[in-house]
Amino acid sequence: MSARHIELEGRLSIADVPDVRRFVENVHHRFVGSDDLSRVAMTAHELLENAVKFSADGAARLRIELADGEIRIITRNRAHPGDVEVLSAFARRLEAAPSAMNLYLDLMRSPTPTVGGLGLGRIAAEGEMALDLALDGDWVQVTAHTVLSAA
Amino acid sequence: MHTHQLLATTTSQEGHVVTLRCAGSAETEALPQLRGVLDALHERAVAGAASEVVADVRDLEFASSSCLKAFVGWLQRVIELDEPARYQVRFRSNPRHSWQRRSLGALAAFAGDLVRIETEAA
Repeated sequence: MSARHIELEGRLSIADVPDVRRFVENVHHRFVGSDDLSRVAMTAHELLENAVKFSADGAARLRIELADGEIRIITRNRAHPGDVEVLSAFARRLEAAPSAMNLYLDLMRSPTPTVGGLGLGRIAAEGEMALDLALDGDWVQVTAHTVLSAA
Repeated sequence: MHTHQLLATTTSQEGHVVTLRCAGSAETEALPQLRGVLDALHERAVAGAASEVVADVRDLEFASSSCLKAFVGWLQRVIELDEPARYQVRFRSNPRHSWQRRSLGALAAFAGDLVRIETEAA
């Protein structure tokens, strides 16, 4: 299968995210097995919802790259400084956690909501995706990637 | 324009078993609705001395993490009940919705013996 990608960018609302998730499913269902498709759709949903929710200027970008049996789901947005710091802390916490599921259950137990934390924990634990966080000034880029089981 | 069905719920009771059916899609926008439904479900189960609540999510096509957190909050309230008042929770799931296996598995890991998951034959 040749490499392919889709990219969406714009000013979105939370109400748009389910439509984007369904679009992602429709675009990828011929190339990705059903269980992987479910993981990909959930990941796109959670990443984009975070990007929209915490966008400092209302804009967010979603890019999905499929190549060589691997998929990368990438969101990019500007964020307020406080949210950037909370995201950095989350990345450190994920790296230090004994397992993604362990962290996810801790996030579930936490009475205090974290900035997008439960969604990211879900991606890592339920979606079994690796997460990379890149910060550049007020720009936040989150990448989730995995090897597909049935590409 | 959003043409897909949003969250639809019904609650019923037969003897000491209360059943919640969820259909459509539990998007983040439906979070206040879902919280209200789960609050009412819990109150009904406690007031009616229910032994079990069946959460039938077979027709639920998706739940956002915010909505999963609402289920976590509900399960936490059940865990916190004193033993005589505590009821069991049984999720009825649909193998065609792959996310349910993963998400309900996480809820079961959170709630321990309180939760059982029943999956209909594919």
